[in-house]
Formats: sequence, structure tokens, C-alpha cells
Amino acid sequence: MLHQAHTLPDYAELHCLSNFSFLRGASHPEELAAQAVAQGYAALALTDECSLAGVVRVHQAFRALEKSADLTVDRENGAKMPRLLIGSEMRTVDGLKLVFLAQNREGYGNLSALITLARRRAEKGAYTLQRHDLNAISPNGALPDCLVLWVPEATPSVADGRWLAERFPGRCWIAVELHAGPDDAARLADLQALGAACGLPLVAAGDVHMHVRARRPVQDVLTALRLKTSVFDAGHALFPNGERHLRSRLRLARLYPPELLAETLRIAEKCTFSLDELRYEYPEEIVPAGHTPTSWLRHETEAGLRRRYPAGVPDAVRERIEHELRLIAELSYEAYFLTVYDIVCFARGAGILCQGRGSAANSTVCFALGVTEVDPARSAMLFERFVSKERGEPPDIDVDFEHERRDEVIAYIYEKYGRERTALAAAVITYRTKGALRDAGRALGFDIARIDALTASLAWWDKREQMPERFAEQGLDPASPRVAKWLWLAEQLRGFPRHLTQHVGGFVMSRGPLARLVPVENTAMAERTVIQWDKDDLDAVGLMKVDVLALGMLSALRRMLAIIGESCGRPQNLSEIPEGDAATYDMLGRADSMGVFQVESRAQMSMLPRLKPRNYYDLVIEVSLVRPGPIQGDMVHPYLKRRQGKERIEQITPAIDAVLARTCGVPIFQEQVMQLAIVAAGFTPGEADELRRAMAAWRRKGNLARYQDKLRAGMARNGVPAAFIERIVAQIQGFGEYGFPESHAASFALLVYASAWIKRHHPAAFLCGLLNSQPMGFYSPSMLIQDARRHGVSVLPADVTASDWDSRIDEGGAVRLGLREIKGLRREIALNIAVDRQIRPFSDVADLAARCALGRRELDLLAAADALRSLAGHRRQAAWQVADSGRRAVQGDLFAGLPAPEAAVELAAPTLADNLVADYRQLGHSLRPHPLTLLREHLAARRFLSAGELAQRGDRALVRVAGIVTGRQRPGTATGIVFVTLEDETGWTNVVVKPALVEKQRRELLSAPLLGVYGQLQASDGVVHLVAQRLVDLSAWLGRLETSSRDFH
Amino acid sequence: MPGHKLSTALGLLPGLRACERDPAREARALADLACWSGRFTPTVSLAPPAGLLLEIGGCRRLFGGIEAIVAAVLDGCRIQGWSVDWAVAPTPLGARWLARAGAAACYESLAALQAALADLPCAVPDWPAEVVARLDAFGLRRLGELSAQPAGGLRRRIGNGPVDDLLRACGELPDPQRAFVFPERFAAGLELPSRVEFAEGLAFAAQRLFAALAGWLQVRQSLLRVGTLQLTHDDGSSSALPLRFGEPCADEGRFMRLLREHLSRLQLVAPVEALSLMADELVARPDASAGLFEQAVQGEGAAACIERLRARLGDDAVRSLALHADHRPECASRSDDPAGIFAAKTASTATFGKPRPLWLLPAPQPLAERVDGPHWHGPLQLVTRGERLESGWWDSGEQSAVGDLRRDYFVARTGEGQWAWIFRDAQGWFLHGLFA
Repeated sequence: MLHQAHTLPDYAELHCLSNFSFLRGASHPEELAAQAVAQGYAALALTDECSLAGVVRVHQAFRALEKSADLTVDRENGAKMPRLLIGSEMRTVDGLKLVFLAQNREGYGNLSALITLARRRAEKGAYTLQRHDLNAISPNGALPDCLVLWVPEATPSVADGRWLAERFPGRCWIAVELHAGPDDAARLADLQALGAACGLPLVAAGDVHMHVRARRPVQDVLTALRLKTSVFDAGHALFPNGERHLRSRLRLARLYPPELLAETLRIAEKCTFSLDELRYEYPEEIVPAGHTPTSWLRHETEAGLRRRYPAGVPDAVRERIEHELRLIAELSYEAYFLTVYDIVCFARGAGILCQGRGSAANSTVCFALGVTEVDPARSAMLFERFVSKERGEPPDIDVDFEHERRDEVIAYIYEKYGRERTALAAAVITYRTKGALRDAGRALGFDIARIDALTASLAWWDKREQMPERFAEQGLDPASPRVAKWLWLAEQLRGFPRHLTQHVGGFVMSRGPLARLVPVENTAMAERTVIQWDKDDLDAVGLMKVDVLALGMLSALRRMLAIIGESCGRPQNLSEIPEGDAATYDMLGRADSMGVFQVESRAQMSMLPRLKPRNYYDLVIEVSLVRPGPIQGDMVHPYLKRRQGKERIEQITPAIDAVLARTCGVPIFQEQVMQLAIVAAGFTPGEADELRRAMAAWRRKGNLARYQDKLRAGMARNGVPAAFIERIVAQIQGFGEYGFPESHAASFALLVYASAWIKRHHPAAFLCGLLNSQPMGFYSPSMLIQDARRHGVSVLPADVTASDWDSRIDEGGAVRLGLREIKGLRREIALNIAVDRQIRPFSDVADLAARCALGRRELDLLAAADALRSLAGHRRQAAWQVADSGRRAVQGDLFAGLPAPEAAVELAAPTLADNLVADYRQLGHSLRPHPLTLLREHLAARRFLSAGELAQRGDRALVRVAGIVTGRQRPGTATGIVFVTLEDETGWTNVVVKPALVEKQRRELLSAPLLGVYGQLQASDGVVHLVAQRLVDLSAWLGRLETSSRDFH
Repeated sequence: MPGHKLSTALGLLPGLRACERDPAREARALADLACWSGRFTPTVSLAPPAGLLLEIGGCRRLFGGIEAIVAAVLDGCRIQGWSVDWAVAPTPLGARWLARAGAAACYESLAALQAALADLPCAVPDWPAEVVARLDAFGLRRLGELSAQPAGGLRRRIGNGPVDDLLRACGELPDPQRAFVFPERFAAGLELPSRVEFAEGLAFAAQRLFAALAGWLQVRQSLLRVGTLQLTHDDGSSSALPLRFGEPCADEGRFMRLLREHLSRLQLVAPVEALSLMADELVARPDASAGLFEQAVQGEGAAACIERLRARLGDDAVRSLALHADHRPECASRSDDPAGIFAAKTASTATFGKPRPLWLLPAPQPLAERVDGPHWHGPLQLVTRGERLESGWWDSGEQSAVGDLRRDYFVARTGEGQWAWIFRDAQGWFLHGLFA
């Protein structure tokens, strides 16, 4: 090989598609990069169709490969890293196929702008390039500073060639793409003649669609999918062979004349652009005239400090501020902080609750600016951990806004910076198991019903390893050739990008037109645009984004604060909530946390009584501890034991002890892992950050081993005991991508405390706030209402004579449910009712209908929801009244309000069961006695206990419980276990169903609305679980009662 | 469980096979059953999608009472593999509703019917969901509760339809049914004006039936091969007289001649009250449209020619060769049903411009390889650069499939000037075709 390397011709591949040319390219950008290295190419141009979405990945891959050890060996033998050229293949509407290559930063900007132009005028995912888009815009011709390869069709026209030669003088080549076709020699001769006739030189190119030949089946499948057919019927649309891969230079030398290969190098040399040249420039308008970003940040920070510390800034704070501002200035991050600050100021002014979190958010500067309420003095965090000189990557501040009002913030951003300079980061949607199976099956010609049956049979918890079993269940033999291919192809397709969509809220704003930095395209939402790079791409090229996120709890909190303010004139601001309230912590310690932010999940509820949080920092830990990372890293139990004093906190080395002191010697936060790597294993902060990224990606890429070795070696050098090293390494691996950053937990913990405090001291306002912000959170309105009533809140039903749209607290302190609880009722209708009622009370249903212009549908809904009871009697009577079509006919005319002459009808009053059925159907909850009270006698006779009775039985007691299934949950962390929540008139029972029983009684588990469970109690630290041994479907007892369960995936 | 999503059903019963519902087939099945039930009563009505109304009041004597008819009908259904819900009532709608509710009983008087109807849930009549929901909202769960309400008030709330339905079901409004027209099968019957005790006496009455049959066969362009004359005796029993025609026919005269022969040998077991005639086996009239070979139909072209060739040589002997879009030479043409060549659009011409021999060998023939390359009647001289074909992974490993090919094809010339199409793959050199 070595010998050949010197005699083989050099080659630069100038026409190569990755799988970001959706349904065309069959290899990931990273795979192409690695293969280009392996083949010893001089350069690789990534030229995805009208897209630059994959270029950063190749750029990154080359960088990583450059560092890796095996290449260093090759390099000593003279091998060089291929250079990345940036380009794009595009086809004009009249069929001219061109490959553009950017020569320099200007050319890159022009190409990016051209892609944007073509994309923005087409619908999502498509593009339109007109020929006149290539008319000369400068004396140097069209698209300055770009080269162009013309890929002629089978019978090319000389006129096209001349047209191109004129527009791209000296910058246009004819691409000769030879793929061992029927007659390559003739094709070459034709193109040579064409070149002579148009005055265009020729160059070799590969039209690469995959990195290796073996991807041919995948490429065929993609082609079939693109044409919406199967590989059997795709016929000649499939490529006749697998030549469209990164071919060996030996093969190329046999196919092409040497001068055509040499020409590739000449072109590559003309393209000097590198993504490293991109420089991000912040918008200018965040700084008023007369100020620099540095002076303005200082100005605003000082103003904030005066507000935070009216009595004078403490020395420690002052010192920290100076340090941070210095660091920010050194890194030129002022504009980023000011951009975030500007958005937060807008939200404040508009009365939208918001809070920052994330790496830089918990700095003292952000505290002073009001981006966050986390007082850095309250926690042990250091700013450097989030903004480091060495890492050279932008700081990260996520800002959460009220979920219902985030659009106002987004509108503000678009308005302030303009559409040309603002876009959302992309999120790359990739194939997941079901989609991959569906598409692979379709391409292999399996019939749709079969495919649907298979994918539908995959429960949300099925693992990949179980796939062959699921196939077998569907009567498909996993060993048969066709089915085996299906499985293999689905596996290949998994992880392939399918399309770009918008990131949840990452905005990119620039000083100049954004389209010259990165192409911008349309999304499914007309008013939104996305750039072609995702969050990781942005990080890699050093572009900054501001995350504008939606958080339901903020909406709820604002409403709760407003209600509290109205009724008792007390705190209306988060910062006015008193700190360190013992009653609040007592409540959390009892796991009485339904509706409280973050700690209301089943897992959190079982952790609370063990952790018994007593202060703010305990909440930070509580939020971070119940995460897949710490659970899989086996950090939870050691932490709890040490916290409860059941296990000694060992001393390792002073440096390590200092890092882990605040978490009892167990690493819980992502930051601690990085910190450990630095102090114990001698990582630089930059390397520690690489470790963090590797942790986040190892499940996908599995390249953690390198860092593990380095960690081991580093710690061993520093005299860390071997046992501790192994534990840490194992924990880091378990941690994986799920490690939770302390910087986010710190902000979340504030909201945990605030919502818990309100629940404890203002339960009625708490309920109203949650109900009025639905849908959000873990629990249904029904569960929230029951919980509030058990906490002494009196709740009154929705009623047209008393309710508004929202739930509110009435004069007597009771919660009057809003008309919004009525399923299907429109908001405007409810608002009309509330307004008209203020003018004059409604005399009867006819009066209500006439004055509020209610139609038949609305009246039916109100009657069915029993909201007319004050005007028309029980719901049947009301339904009878509103259903009269005779009266509606004259509605609105002279006779409006005149009662129609009709004999009164006496309908039987509904029974309790009837009312319950109707309540659940129309409202989703009922204020009447719980359905299980009706069955209690029946249940007691069969020795079923209530949730309340259960609490009095001891650990290990054998019991039976029956209840309505209100939740089924299967956390990814608990292998195969399903958690079921049963509800009865006294509360909830937590049932644990182990995998063996899940498989055995799948039907009862998944379908019974009323479930009886025989099992054994597990009670410790105030946490009670029932471990199921047998499930019985008692639904027949319910009769017509309908209930709904929420499955949490 | 109705109302489940497919995914839920599969979650509950992994391995469940789902089939699409086919309303057209259901309608055909119902019509067939209607035809069949003509043997019990001439008055049958369809009540789609799954109901059948048999007017049996008139023929109760014929079968010896309602129970006997019901038993016969149910038995017949069972034999045909249908499970039925049924009821007998004085009104068609009443019977339908009771059947749907699974009554499986006879209500001979109006009073009995009304009492039974009062107890039915309001969901039984197939009223629009909106009406059912409304009745539920009123708390009116059973039809009896519904009829207890003032009709005027009800009409203003749920419309006239349901209220009129109720009146029809109770026999308070007339409810004429549209009779089923027996379209596809001939089954006709008639009651004799007086009992007939001698077989020969039946001929006169039967003549009317055979006349009708002849007319019907004419309409159907068919000939009768086997028919049955059913004799219904005054004791309710019946006997069948099978009629077989060696040469199928449609001629009334021949029918009657055959009938007379049969009747002359027939000993009646009991006096006959009614006759019915069924056409059991038909054949299409061969000279349906035109005389065979006597005159060529205008525009008769290749299709008819192929038809006749196939008729004489057998279907499999006449095939067409069609281009098939597949890169693999073995799969690039297909022997096809020639009927298809007129229906389908012309095959793709994508192979144009590629060197492809007209005749491929049935299987590639291995070639000897020497130092100077492949040999076939001497050394072969390669004329073109290799054309690489790699395709067909999708059927590899399957029975009698070509599978994944990976070959480099060449046009080559023998010493004698013969042009050959050869390829090389992992196994070596092969001859695959010869150019003419």
C-alpha cells in the first residue's frame, strides 16, 4: 500500500452528497470524511443538494481524525489530511445540473445566499433555482468567488455550455463522471467534443452518494422511497452499480485520463475557504449610541447591583463582578450577555415571567442584570466553570418564558432584528426505529397493513433487541431472506437525517444578513425560518444562539402570584416569596408535592421523603438526583446513605474532597465530573469540555474509552486510590448523556421552592394557577382538584351564573371552576357569558341564549356539563330545555325571550352514577363522591382496601387494592418495570409491576380502567409501594363510567 | 372490542391479524342471502348493511307455522355459515330492532311487540349519533321512556325521523318495504289455484313457470343445464324434481318435453299446492354476440387472434415478451400474459443505447480463461471497456430468484468475427449472449 501511495495519482473529490441530501445520499458526513482520509484524497468537497447542512459535521470529523493516533502514523508516511471544500449541487428548474464550490469567504457568502434564495421561495424541504438567478451580478460574472462544475445530461446542448461559459468566465468546468457505464469511452469522447465546442475544460468527478460500495442497498432503498415505490418497481431509477462511492485512487486511475484527475487538484487549490474563517458578529442595536458593548454592560450591571443591594454592594460580590466582567471582556462576550438581557427586559416590560438558566446564566453579572434570581452567593458555583477562556466556545444561557406567551417574545425578536438577520437553529429529525422499519418495509414492497401492524405492535417500551421477536409475533420469520433484509436495512436507516425542523427555541441573530453566514430555509410554520445548522454545528463554528424556551410552570406561577396579589395583597413577585419556610420543606418531605414544579413525578415523590430537603441547595440536589444519569451511574443510594449518616463520607484527596463536599462525596452534577477531571486527572478545562461532549454522545458514537484511559492514568498519577478511580469511571459512563448540570438545576430549584411555597400557603391560588395553565405537568385537572380538596380547598362547579373562563377564587375563598373545564367549549363564548352576566343576571336559559348568542352546540355542551343547573335544574332538564328547536327559530327576532307554549316535561333526575358518567365525559373530573364510593361495599366484601387504609398496613403486608387507573408509566431507567397509579376516593396507590407480570398480564395492565391488584406492600422512609403479584380487570363493575389514563412515555 | 385503535388491539393481542372491512362483499353476501331466502317467501327486503326482512305472514301455512319457518331459516343460515340475530314481529322495523337487540323471539301481536320495544335501549335503532347523545342527555335510555314523552316536544328536539321510526315500529304508521328484486338467479314459484293430485295435472301450471324461465334465460344470454322443479305438498312437505339437460338449452318446448317425460313417471306422495322452479346450473350461450368464424367482427385485431390462439393451444403456450425495468440482464425481459400488452402502456425504453444482445443464453456459460483472457472458440478480443452491473440484492437468497449480481460486462469478438456478450465476476468469465 505504501508503495502504491506514492505512485497513485492525487485526487480531490468535487461532487459528493451526504445523507443530508435527503433520500439521496446514503452515508453520514462523518463516514465520508473518514473514507476520504482512508483513500488518501487531497480534498473532499461536500456538495449536498441545495444545502450546507452537513458541512460542519465533515469539518468536525476531519478535525477529530487529525487528532486521532492512527493518522499521525500515516502522516509520517507522507499522508495528508484531506481539505474540506464547501459546495452545493443544484438543479435549475429547466434541468441544468450544477455543482458550486466556494473559493473564499465572499464566495461562501454568495453561495449561502443563493441557497437561501432558492430555498425561501419554495415550500419546506424544496427549492427553486431559476436560470436568471445566475445572471451576472458583477463584472466578474455570476456568483463571484465560486467555481462551478456542469454535470451534463446524456445528450447535452452546446448552447447550455456556452451560456455557462459566458456567466462563469474561467470558473466553469465540465464534470466527467464515469461509473463503468455501457460505454465510458464514448461518453468521455462526447464530453471532450462538448468541451471543445463550448470552450470549457474537463475535470473528473464522482457523483458520490455513499462512502463505500456496500451502502448500495441503502442507496437503492432511499431512491425507491424518494420515488414512492419499492426497489422491485424502481427499475432503472436505481443506479446500475455501486460506483458512486469514494473510489480508490487505483480504480480512478484506471477509469480516467490522468489530466482529468490532475485537474481536480487545480480546482481544489483555488478553493481556500475554511469554516474556521466564519466570524460571528453581534447585532449592533443592543448598545445605545455613545457606548461600547463593554461600557454598556458595565453600566447596566452597576444599575442592577444598586437594585439588588440597596445598602451597598458587599465586597465579595464586588470582587466577583469585576472578575467576571474582565473575563467577559477578554472573550468579547459582552454582546451575548446584552442580547439576552435585552430580551429579558422586553419580557419584564410586557409582564411575561421569565428566568434564565444554564452555563453563564448563574453568574453574578446575570444576577445583577436580573436574567436569573439565583443568587450566586447562595450556591457554591463558580463562574469559570461556565465561561472558560480555554474552551473557546460561546456561553450558554437558556431563558424560559411563560409557555402561552413565548410567541410574543419571538415576535419581538423578529421585529427588533428583522427577518433577514434572525432565524431559528435547526433540529435535525432523524430516523427512529419505527420510521426506519416503516420506510425500509415500504421500499421492500411489504404491504402497508403489514408494516403498520408491525410498527403498531411495538409498544413504547420495546427495545431494539426485541425486534426479531416482534417480527415473529406478526408472523414474519426473522430468518427469511426478505425479513432479514428488512431488519438490516431498518438498522442502517436508523439515525439517518430525514428533514430539518425548528429547534425548540434557539435563535440566531447576526449583524449583517444571516443568509451570508449560513443558508436559511422555510419551516412548516409560515412565519418562522430556520438556518441549516443545528445546535452542535453552531457550537462547533462558534456561532451564538439564545434559547427562548417555553415553560408551563412560569405561566402557572404568574397566575398564582396574580391571584394571591388580588386576594390578599401579598407577594406578587417571585422574589417576594419568603426564603427558607420550614412548613414548605415539611410538606415536600412528606412527598406532598402534586403539581409542584419538577418534583411531582412518581420517582421524585418517592425520593422526597428519603432526601427530606431542608434548604434551597437540597432542592438543587433533589432536582438533579432523580435523573437517568445519576440513577444509571448508581449515585443515588450512596448519596442517600451518606446523607442519612448510614455511611461514612470517605476522604480521597483534598482536591477531590473539595469538589465533592457539597454532594457527600458522590458526583451528582455534570460540572462535578468536569471539575474532577481537571483537579484529579490533570485535564485542561478544554479537555474537560471534550469529555462532557463525549459523555453526551457516547451512546451514539461510543468514543468514551479514550477519555476513560486518560482519566485513569491522570488520577493514578495523582495518587488517587484505584477503587475510587474505577467507581468514578463507571459512574461517568452511567452518567452518559443524562447528567444534569447544576447550573440548570439551580434555576429550576427556585421554581420548585416558589411553587411549593404557594401550594403550602395558598392552595386555592395554586389550584387555580395550574388549572388555568393546562395542559401542563404530570397530573390531570381531576387529580389536581382532588388533591386540593384533600388540602381543605373547597371547589365549586362550573356554572354559567358564577364562572368565568378561568378558575378563580370567589368571595368566600372557594375555588370556582372556570368554564374552560368544559370540554369543547370555546373561549370567546365563555368570555361573553362572563361579561353579559355583569350587566344583568340571566333570568333563564332563553335569556342566556339570546343575550350571549349561543348556538345549539354551545347550549348542549353547557347543559351536558351541568353548568346550567342554576337556570334550568338538573342536567337532563337543562338538556331538554336547550334542545328545543322551535324556540331557536324565533331567536333574535321580536319574540325573543317569549317562552314557547309547551307543556312542561318532568324528566327523571339523574342518579349519582349517571352524573359521574356525564361529569367525567364532559369535564374530565367530578366534584361528586368518587366513583369508587359506589363500589366500596362491593369491594370491601372482596377484601379490597382503599389507598387510605393501605397506609396503615406495615411493610411486607399482603394486600388487595382496587382503583381507577390514572397513570401508567415506564421510565427508561427501570428495566422493564411499569408503574401504575390507582385512584380511589381516599387517594392514590403506587403499584409496581415487574417485567414478568407485565408480559403475563399485558392485557389487564394496558386496558383495564378499573384494576384490582393483589400484591405485597413495600414501605420505607414514608414511601409506600405495592408490588403487584396478580392483576384483575374489574372494569365490568364500573358499568358506564368512563375514565382516562395518561401514559407517560 | 369495537372502538379500539389498531395499535391498542395489537398491544393487547400481539400477533392479531387485522383485515380491512369490505362493504361491497358484505352487500353481495346480503343479496345472496336474500336470493336464497326466496325459498321461504317471495317477499324479501334488504335492510342494509346487515339486515334481511322476510315477510312470512303469507306463507305460514305453507311451512306449518311461524316456528317451523324460523327453524328452517335459522337452520339454513347455520348451514351456510351465518350466525344471525333474529326476531319475528308484526312490523318490519319492530322486527329489525328486536333482532338487533338479540331478542330471538316471536311477537305475534302488536301489544306484545310494543311491550318488547319499550324495553329496548335507545341505542338499538340506528339513529344518528347526535340523536342518541341527545336522548342520553335527557336521561331517556329506553324506547318506552321515549314514547312516554309528548311527541310534539320530542319532534322539536330530535327531529321527525326518530319519532316517526318509533311510530312505524309500533305499527302506528304504515311502513311499506321495497321488495328485493331477484336479479342473478332464477327462482320462481306459484301457488296452484286448486290442489293437484295427479302428476300430469301439473304440466299446465308448470308451463307458465318454464315460460318465465325461458324469457329470463333469454335476458341472461344463458342456457340451462340443470334446474329443479319444487313441488310443495298440502302437508307442508315438499319434493324436488331435478331436470338435467344433456345439451343445455333455453327452449320452452324442450323444457316441456322433458318435464312431461318426468311427470309421466312421477308418483305424487301428496297433493301439490304450489310449484317453484329454480335454475341451478347455467352456461353462457356460446353464440352470444356473433356467429363463430362466420363473419369477422369489425375491428377484431391481435387481441382476438391471441384469444383464439390461446383457445386452441392452451393459455400457457402463448406468451408475450415484455421489457422489464431491471438492471440485471436476466430480469430485463419477462414472459408475460399477452393480455397485458394491450392494457399496459409500452414498456420503458431505458435500455436504449446500451449494448444488449437480442438473445441471452438461458444461463451464463462459463468460459475458459487463459493468460490472454477468456476463450470461446479461441481467444476473445474485448471490444468495449467494462460495463459494471451491480444490482438485485433485494431478492438474493430467495427461491428461484436471480439475486444480487456483481459483474463487469464486455462486448467481445471471436476469431471468426462473431460478437459475444461476456462478463466477469467473482467466479470468473462467462458467455451471456450473442449479437446477431
